[in-house]
Amino acid sequence: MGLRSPITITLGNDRLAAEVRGAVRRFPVAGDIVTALDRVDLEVRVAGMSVVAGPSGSGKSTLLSLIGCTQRPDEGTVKIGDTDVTKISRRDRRELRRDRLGIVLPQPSENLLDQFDAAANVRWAAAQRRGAAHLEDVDVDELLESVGLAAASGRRVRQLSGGEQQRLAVACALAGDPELIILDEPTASLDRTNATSLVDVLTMVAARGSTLIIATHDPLVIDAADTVAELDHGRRVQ
Amino acid sequence: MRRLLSLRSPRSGTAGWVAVAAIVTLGSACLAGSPLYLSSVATAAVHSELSHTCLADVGVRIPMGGAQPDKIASLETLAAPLAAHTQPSVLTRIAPNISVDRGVPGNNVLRAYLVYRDDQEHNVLRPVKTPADGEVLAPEWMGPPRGTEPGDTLRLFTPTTDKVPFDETVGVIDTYPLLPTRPESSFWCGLRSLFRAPGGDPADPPIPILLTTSRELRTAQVFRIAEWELRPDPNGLSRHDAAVLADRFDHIAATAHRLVDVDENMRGRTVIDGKPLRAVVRHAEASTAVVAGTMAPVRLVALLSSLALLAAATALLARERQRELRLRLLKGQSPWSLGLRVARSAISAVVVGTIAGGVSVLVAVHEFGPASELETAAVREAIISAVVGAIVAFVVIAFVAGARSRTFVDSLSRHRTVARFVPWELIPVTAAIIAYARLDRIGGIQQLGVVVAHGDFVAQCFPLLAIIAPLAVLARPTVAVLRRCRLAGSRLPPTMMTGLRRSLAEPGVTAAVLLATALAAGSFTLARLLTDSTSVLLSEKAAVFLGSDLAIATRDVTTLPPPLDAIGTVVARAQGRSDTQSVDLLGIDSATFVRAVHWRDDASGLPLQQLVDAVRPTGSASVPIPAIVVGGALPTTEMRSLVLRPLNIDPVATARWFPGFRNGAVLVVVDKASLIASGFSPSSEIWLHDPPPDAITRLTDAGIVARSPRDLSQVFNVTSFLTVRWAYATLSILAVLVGIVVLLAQLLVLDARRQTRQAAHVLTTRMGLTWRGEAAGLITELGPALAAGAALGVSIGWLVTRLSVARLDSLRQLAPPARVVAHPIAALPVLSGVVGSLVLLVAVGAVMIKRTRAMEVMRGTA
Repeated sequence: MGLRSPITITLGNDRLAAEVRGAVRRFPVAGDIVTALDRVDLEVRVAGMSVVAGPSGSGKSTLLSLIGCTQRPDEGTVKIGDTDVTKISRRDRRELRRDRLGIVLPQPSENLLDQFDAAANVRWAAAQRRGAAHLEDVDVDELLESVGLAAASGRRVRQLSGGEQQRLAVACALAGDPELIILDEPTASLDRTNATSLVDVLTMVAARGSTLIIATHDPLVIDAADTVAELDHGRRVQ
Repeated sequence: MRRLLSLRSPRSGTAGWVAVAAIVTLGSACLAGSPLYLSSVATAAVHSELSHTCLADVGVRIPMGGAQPDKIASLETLAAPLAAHTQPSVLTRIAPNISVDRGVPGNNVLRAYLVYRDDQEHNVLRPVKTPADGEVLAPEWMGPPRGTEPGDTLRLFTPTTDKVPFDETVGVIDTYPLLPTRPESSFWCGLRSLFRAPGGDPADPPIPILLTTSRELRTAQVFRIAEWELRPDPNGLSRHDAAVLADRFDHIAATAHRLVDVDENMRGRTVIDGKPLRAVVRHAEASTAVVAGTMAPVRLVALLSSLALLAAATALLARERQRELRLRLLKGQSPWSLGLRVARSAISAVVVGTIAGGVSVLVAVHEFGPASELETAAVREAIISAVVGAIVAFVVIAFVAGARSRTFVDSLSRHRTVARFVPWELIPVTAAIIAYARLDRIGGIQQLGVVVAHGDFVAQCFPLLAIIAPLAVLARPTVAVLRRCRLAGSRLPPTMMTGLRRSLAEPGVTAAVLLATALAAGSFTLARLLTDSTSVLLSEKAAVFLGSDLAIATRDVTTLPPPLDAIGTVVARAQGRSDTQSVDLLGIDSATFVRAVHWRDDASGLPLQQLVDAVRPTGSASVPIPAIVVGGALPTTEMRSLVLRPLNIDPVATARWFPGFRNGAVLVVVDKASLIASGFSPSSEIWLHDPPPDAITRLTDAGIVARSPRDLSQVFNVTSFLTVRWAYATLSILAVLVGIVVLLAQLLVLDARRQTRQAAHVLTTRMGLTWRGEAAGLITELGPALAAGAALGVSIGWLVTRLSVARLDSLRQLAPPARVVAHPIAALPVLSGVVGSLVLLVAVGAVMIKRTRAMEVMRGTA
């Protein structure tokens, strides 16, 4: 394993939004150690939609969780902009996650607070990033309109369909203009129509200059991506 | 309450809320229950002391020279604020040194007391007629041998040298029997010292007391002493009330010295202040200290269990809100702020649990505690403890939820630590060994005189540690065995196999349930066996000391009246010497002895009947008389009485102890007639087995002299005896608490497995599985750990009792030695607890399954 040369993936244009070098991540499973990522390099350039593709268990979500500061690599470095997130404290990582990243999880319901309506969810997400004092800087209606949910502003989360919930999650992730938006299998639980609709939104968001990195095995998303990298068993990238 | 409930997050689940509320209820009950129970013990100890004490001896008494109506009014004014806890004051007027001429030729003039006590004549042991003018009540034994009878005429007079001579002739309206000793009615209470013979020799006849309500008599100048008494009223009197009352009595006594003409010249009739009542309070507090010492380890274990369970319930609460918490963490919120958020949402559960625990324990102690009176200070301490407990619960919930939230996002990798290999179980094992050594050296709860002494904390911990230590040692092997058995049950029906393997799949959880059940069952068994064994032991020791259930000194009695002849015997006791060694001699009547005494087979190698038959007289006076030697060896077989009369014995049998055996001297049991014939001048005692309440009256009615009756309750201090029961009862409380903990833990386990169970149900119902199959699966999943734990606990409890009971005996010098008294019925509560818990758990599990929504399960949103 140690003799294999590392493989570098570079996504997007020249300036780097995120950079992963030699990332290794292992998990203890049933008394054994499974290597989810094996010395993976990845560069995500600013603006555009980048996709990490691969079959289930290939390490896509693990790689995104390293970039999203929700896990630490056992070896290697992960940079968000110029910040090496493997060398900062848990508290700094939390603040970085809050201020500079937008994260969307696979299950629509995992991205939203049930007790709020759509607009309140976006407002809450913005408040987390900007602070309640700067909420006036965030145009909630525009964000909702950008994801096609202008009419659903006052509806509760449970009153929204899965596709609408996932688009609302994207709006929440966009609130406060994060540097990097990380989406883990955003279409995994959506039907074809809703998935198409979400991909349209993501394409539009990327076109406006946001940086998106998406883990998926959905061809619909892969086709819409500016750049694509593929993982297999945490170590092969084509 | 509505505001508190509104603090709950809409996403917080019911199971976690209920679990937190239930566990806080448990902790609150434990915290609040301790001061309340101890207060109840203290008050019950005061009641017990007072019920075995003459209330006049613990009240305030002011003897005055003659009647001083205005001074008495002043004393009444002082007593008025104490009316809630005192009986109405009693005024006794005593005419000492009255000469009584019965007008019977040949009879000497007697000395007597003439006593008037406020309208209490109905309390003179048996109903008597109230004396009218010129009449008195007199003791029937006054002026033997004829005694005194109703209708007799008495001339009462004082020496003519008196300043105002008294000379009246009165009629005896009625007589009262006996000397009023036990039970001592309130009339006699306080007059005991008047009966005492002037010489102080018990053989001297007592001084008669003549009672009167006669107006013309009681206004006579001869009543030189007036005693004003204020007695405590035990009804509703708590330990605190008694302590306050003692201070007030001191105040009244001190004030009385200034206010009235106190006369303390009469023998034994001095001022009584608050000291005797304070001594009662002190005895009660000694009992409380003993119970508190025994409760301390129990309380600690219960609180630690509650905290551990609260942590588990909080983890459940956090799991129910995992999506929301993870989202908030992803958005950059701090785990500790989330911990606070979870804790805030659990405030209503904490408040409800605190109130429910506090109120339920208040009601439980009031209804089922040793005494129903609750002291204000104890209630205040209980409230403070419960509030502190609630604050601690809030902090624990916040901390655990925060710590749990940290694991949802950006957690550090888990690695095996060396902590896993540290033999933690050696800690309770070492502690148990130290406690055992201590217990072996100093014994259990000490009885010093009439007061129980503070049991040694380390020694008192032994029973509990002895249960915890083997369970701690068994923890790792149990987990290992369960892990190895994870594929067991392959021959069972599919549902049962699934249930069994579901429990084996989590060996840690199953082992915890098994061992916790064992702790509960073990504690209960231990408490039950220790309490039963101690009660029986004290009764046995008392019975051996007395000889039987009731021992009465008598004289010149050979046969007892029916029905007492069927349950009693008359024995002769004497003291002698064998060489230089003191010997007690007991003469028994072989025909009646066996039916009148208690016997334990381990007292001797021979059965009692055989022993008694062995000392039957041989018929020849010159042959040494057969004897049983009890409790030691004799230097020589020639006994000598205290006046050196010889008695040769032939030791035909030995025994370790025998009815009537009192440690300190070897007991030699011989035939009664032989003992009397030897000229040893023995005293006689009547021994009665399980006597009727009116046994003494029956004996006196039959013309038998019955003196100094002593029953089992008089051998040891009753309060000390009760204290031992109260102390061991706390182990039962622990058992109940641990049982509840086990049940709650099982409910948490059920809830933790809810999703997998519901998913399995969605699948299996489509495969034709019935509800009966589901129930069988649940029973197989939950039942074995409970049953195995209960069996293990009962076994360990029994073993620990066997180890403890002899060493907890603080009266080892008294025969017989301790033994385990085990009734099979003692295991019934454990069995019913296990079955009841299993039924409840299966019902809850069935309800969970019934609420399965297939679509939600398949979407993963259930």
